[in-house]
Amino acid sequence: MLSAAVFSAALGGLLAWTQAQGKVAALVNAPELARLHEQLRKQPKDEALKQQIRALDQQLRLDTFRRLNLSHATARTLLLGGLVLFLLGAHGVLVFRPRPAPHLPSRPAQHVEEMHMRQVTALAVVAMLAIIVAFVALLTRHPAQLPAPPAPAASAVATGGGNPVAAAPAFPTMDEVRKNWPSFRGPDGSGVNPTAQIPTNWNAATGVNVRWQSAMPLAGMSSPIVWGNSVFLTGADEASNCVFRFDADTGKLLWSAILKVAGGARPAPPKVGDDTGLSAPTPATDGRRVYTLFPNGEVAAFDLAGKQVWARNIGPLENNYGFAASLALYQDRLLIQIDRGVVEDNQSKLLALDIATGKDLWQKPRAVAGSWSSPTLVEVDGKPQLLTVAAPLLCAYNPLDGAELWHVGCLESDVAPSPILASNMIVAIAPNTAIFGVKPGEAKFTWKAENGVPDATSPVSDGQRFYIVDSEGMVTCADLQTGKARWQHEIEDRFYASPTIVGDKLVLLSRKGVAYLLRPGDKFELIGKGEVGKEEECGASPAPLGNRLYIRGKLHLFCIEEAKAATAK
Amino acid sequence: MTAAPINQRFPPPQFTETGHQLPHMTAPPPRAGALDYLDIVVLCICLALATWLVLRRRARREVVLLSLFSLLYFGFWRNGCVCAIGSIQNLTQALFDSTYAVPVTVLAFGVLPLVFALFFGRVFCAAVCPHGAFQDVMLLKPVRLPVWLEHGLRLLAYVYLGLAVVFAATGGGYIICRFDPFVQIFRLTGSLTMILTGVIFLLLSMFIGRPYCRFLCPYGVLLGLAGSVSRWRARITPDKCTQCRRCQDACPFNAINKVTPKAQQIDPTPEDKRRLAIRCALLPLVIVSGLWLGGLSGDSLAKAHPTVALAERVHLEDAGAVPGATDASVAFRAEGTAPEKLFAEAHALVARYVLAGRLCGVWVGLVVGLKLIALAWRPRRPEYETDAVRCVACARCFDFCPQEHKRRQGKNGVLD
Repeated sequence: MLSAAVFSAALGGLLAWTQAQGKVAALVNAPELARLHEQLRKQPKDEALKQQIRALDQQLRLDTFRRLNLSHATARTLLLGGLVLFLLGAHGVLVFRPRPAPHLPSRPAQHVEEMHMRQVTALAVVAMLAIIVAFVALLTRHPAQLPAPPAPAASAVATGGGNPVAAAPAFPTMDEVRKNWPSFRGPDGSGVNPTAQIPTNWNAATGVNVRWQSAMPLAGMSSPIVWGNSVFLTGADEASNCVFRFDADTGKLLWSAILKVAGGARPAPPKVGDDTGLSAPTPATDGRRVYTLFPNGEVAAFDLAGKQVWARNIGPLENNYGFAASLALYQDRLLIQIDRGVVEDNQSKLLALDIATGKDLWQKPRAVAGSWSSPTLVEVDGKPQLLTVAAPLLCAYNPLDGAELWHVGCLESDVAPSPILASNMIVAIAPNTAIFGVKPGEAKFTWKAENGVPDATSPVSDGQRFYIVDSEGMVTCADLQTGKARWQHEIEDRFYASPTIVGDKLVLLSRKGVAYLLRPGDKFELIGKGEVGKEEECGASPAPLGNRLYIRGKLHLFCIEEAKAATAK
Repeated sequence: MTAAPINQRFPPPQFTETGHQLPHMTAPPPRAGALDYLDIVVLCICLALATWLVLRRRARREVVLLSLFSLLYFGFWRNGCVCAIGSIQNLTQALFDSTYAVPVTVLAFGVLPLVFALFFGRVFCAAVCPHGAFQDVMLLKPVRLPVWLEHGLRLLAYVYLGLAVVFAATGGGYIICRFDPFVQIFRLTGSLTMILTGVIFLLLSMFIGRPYCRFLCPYGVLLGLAGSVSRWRARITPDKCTQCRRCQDACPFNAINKVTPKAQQIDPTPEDKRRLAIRCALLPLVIVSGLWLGGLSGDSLAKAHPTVALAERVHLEDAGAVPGATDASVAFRAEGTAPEKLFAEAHALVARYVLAGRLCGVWVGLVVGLKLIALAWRPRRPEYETDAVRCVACARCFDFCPQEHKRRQGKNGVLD
């Protein structure tokens, strides 16, 4: 029995080895053969080399056949024979042993409480069910990646979970825009969503109040934008510029698309600092398409199924630190603020593209230096104005035709924070220098403040005060109409994301992935904290909509929602 | 059968100027149709013989001999195909695909064992199924698994059955055949991975009785359900049970339910009733959870379908998310079909998988819910008896029953 077992095991092992060795792939991929082939490509007329290859090819084939012959029927029959011998021996020893005599007295059974045993069994069934559920949960993380199915109406998208709008107009109404978070810092670039409600704490590690988190396919500093049930993001690396659409309810990646400009090689991405990255500009959407801009000058529109509608290159966007201005949308115009170099270079301009075709509608030169701020579309006295900041100007334009409406020359240095308008007061920031309060249309600033001036982040206002945080963690609250500081508080953290007001909470998202929730007011009041993990190195500004807050980290996109609200839904 | 695929896998020799003539590829001739009918005849004879040996003769040794014959004929000679286990998929496909006709052999292999099980219990498992026979001859030193583990692992077979039906109904393939651990051993060829899987199962079978049959076999689930209503299934003792417990010791499959002690033969307590009521109330919840989870998994399960897999590949290639191209995507592009058409087809299939996943989830939820309810009952068994679902009618317990020995003594005058 033992010898049969040893024989079978040895033969089985030999067969397995020859099976593995005798693979045809080993012949096709033989490194020596590949090397000779490569050599022959360089010397195609070398007859001696050909002979060498033939000889090696034949040798390899013979070896392979020899191995395959080993695993031929004879060896397998021998294996089977050995197995049968083993079983016969083993059964002879173990199974056909003397049976119990039938006249032995019955043995009393040792009964355990049947119901107790049944409850243990029920627990085992539940445990197995839990394993199956865990397996299903793992399975759902890898769904089929297909382009989103075409909507019933070609250019319609569900708004806030509603039905698709048939034959939607070319661009949305302002009411429709205000119901979403369509661009950097929201519909009016203020970073305020007064109706959104979010929890006062969350933790991605434990899952508390985190509705979902999804892995980011590519890194980027651009902020998430939200339209209805879709979250859009961009990402880039040295090889490609990409846009992604996530399902806002589940976090499922609905599609990812790579920007491709026809008829030309892809411009190499400019050299940028790690803090800016290759996809700092936040995209914009009108619910019909999503528009993207990347620092290598590629700008494009994608429909909601992920199909590229148009793409073009608007020229180099080389800039110190990297290009960062986000896109703005007004009606059928895509507005791009391109500020580069110094004033004397005359390289800065404001560009408007047709959202349907990507063609130039107009462009206006700007007598400003390079900047990293984004244009802010606001409404003053019922009329649209596009606010831009770059040293030395705070300048307003008519977004329809690009006509300059007014400007104030008060800014200096490398301007990165974007301007905001609240209670008829514009807050513009000259980094590390001063903050200016300007009334729209006036030729000079109303006030100037020098406390806690941020270097990268934009301000936010609750209508009475404005709040700023610099990259070193100094939070300052000041009066919106006078600029006088109300309070200052230092947080031991670093901040690149701009502050956001969500309902009755001021959200300060740090680089360590900690969101400090303050109550807006005349005193510093920390009311909660949320954490997504310090490895996320958050730099993008969060996007609040409805009961949710979308946070982009370096590795994941998070959806924060009060667990009760999520359950109720 | 084995030489042709090896030849086909080989790349032709290079340097065609040598005048080397490629050998003409040959394919094995199809099996004669009459042999299919012979298989059905052999199946019927084996089923009838197994029934007679188990129920009338009550003879373990003859059952073993018949199972060895089945192993050689249906296993090694017929290469494990057609088999009753895989026929579930053919029957399912026939139900959902109007263009598919089930071969009569497959129909016979799928239905006949079930019909026999309806009347006589799992006699097919006892001595006709080559899978069961293979594991049974390997069983040397059985280790008794705890009952709770037995019940927990058996759940896998129900899930496997559900998945097999889902994939067969949606065109995703025959997973039972693809992942059959023994069929490649019967054929003495196949992928190394599956052969090793089979070897692992056989090694396990030396200590755990019929692990595939008990914990994975989807056909065993159907046979068990059919056998549970059978009137003439195998009984341990031909007379009154002496409660010696030897049958339970003899059964390596945990398929004998022990007697309920008199002290425990009581009416349900309030606690029992409360437990039962809670589990009955939980049943709809478990089913709805299964519906929901099954729907969630549909999107992932759909990737098993070749059309969905191709659509995903084409989409990812278009998006630049994967390098290079596969043979399938190259062929698709050469065909000239619009990708949108492929995507639309894939979306329709995904929707189908979501529906199928939901139904599978309902099935699993129903099984779990009913199992929990069944475990809430307080049993009342006056004697040791075979479990109607789990017993594979192997006839081992007969030899260990003192009453059976008395019967044989009375009949033959001497002990067996």
